[in-house]
Amino acid sequence: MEIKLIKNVLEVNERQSEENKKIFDAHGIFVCNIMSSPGSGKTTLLQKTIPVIKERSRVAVIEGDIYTTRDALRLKEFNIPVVQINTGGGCHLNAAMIAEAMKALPLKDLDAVIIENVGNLVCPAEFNIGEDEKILIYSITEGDDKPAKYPLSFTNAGAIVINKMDLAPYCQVNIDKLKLEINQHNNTAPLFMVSALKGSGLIPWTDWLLSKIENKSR
Amino acid sequence: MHEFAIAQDLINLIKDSLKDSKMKTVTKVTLALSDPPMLVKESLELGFGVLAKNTPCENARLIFTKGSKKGFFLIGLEGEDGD
Ligand SMILES: Nc1nc2c(ncn2[C@@H]2O[C@H](COP(=O)(O)OP(=O)(O)O)[C@@H](O)[C@H]2O)c(=O)[nH]1
Ligand SMILES: [Mg+2]
Repeated sequence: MEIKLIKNVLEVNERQSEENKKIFDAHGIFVCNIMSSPGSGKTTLLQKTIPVIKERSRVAVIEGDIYTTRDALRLKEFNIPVVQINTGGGCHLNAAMIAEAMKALPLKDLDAVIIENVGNLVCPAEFNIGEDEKILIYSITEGDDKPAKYPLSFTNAGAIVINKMDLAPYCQVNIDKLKLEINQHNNTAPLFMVSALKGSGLIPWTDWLLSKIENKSR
Repeated sequence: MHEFAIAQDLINLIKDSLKDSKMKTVTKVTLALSDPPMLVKESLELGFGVLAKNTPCENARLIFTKGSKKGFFLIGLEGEDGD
């Protein structure tokens, strides 16, 4: 027998993303989707951010990684729920993976879920997963010319964290040019200039995150 | 490597479409892909082959046609009834 139909395959992710968001919303949970190239400092930033926001909110992390649990292990000391997703080759997290991970989270007892996406500056930006905000971490060691090369990651971001500022003296990177180029793709997202490793510049970032969390749980 | 995720979405969509049908196993899946394609067919086939194990489309063949609408669409299923 034969069935004729016209169904948009890409809409499946979008629908699942909306489902996820509905569940997060019903629990008043603020969800952010952290994206960057590999090695820009997502996990390091989490290691510095979690102790601060943990003081005032109940937070869990979903760690996306192609193969390993290394990043999840780096968060173990904080005693918060951490769910690992291994995409087994997949270049980004999708909404179905998050739906699965949500089952392992104590949603009733959470105010925020931080999702570390797979390190990749292209694909994660194309797939919504049920988040309130996409947050782009950009390391200055990537140069001042990338916003135009990877526009979607910048355009979609609700906040942009410029990381590794401690390395500015050692890189040929023009921070003003970088800011200007970011501004051409996104002039609404707040920009936070930090060094996650040194722990500098983090207060405006954690304040922003906390205000988002508190607004949602209210 | 979008293709694995999209293959999973495709399988879910097929399972969904079978719900209101007597078809129990799928032998042929017809797809429409716009030009330029936003995915690599071979990668999608690979992902589909792995992820379709133990589903009604386990042994299904993927047929790609050129679609006029932008995107990636499931346009037809062929298969066999249950009983
Ligand atoms: N100098 C410097 N190194 C950093 C900073 N943030 C992260 N790193 C280093 O960059 C590397 C990758 O960091 P990681 O957090 O694993 O990045 P991820 O892949 O985005 O999660 C590690 O060696 C970190 O120590 C920073 O602010 N300054
Ligand atoms: Mg990491």
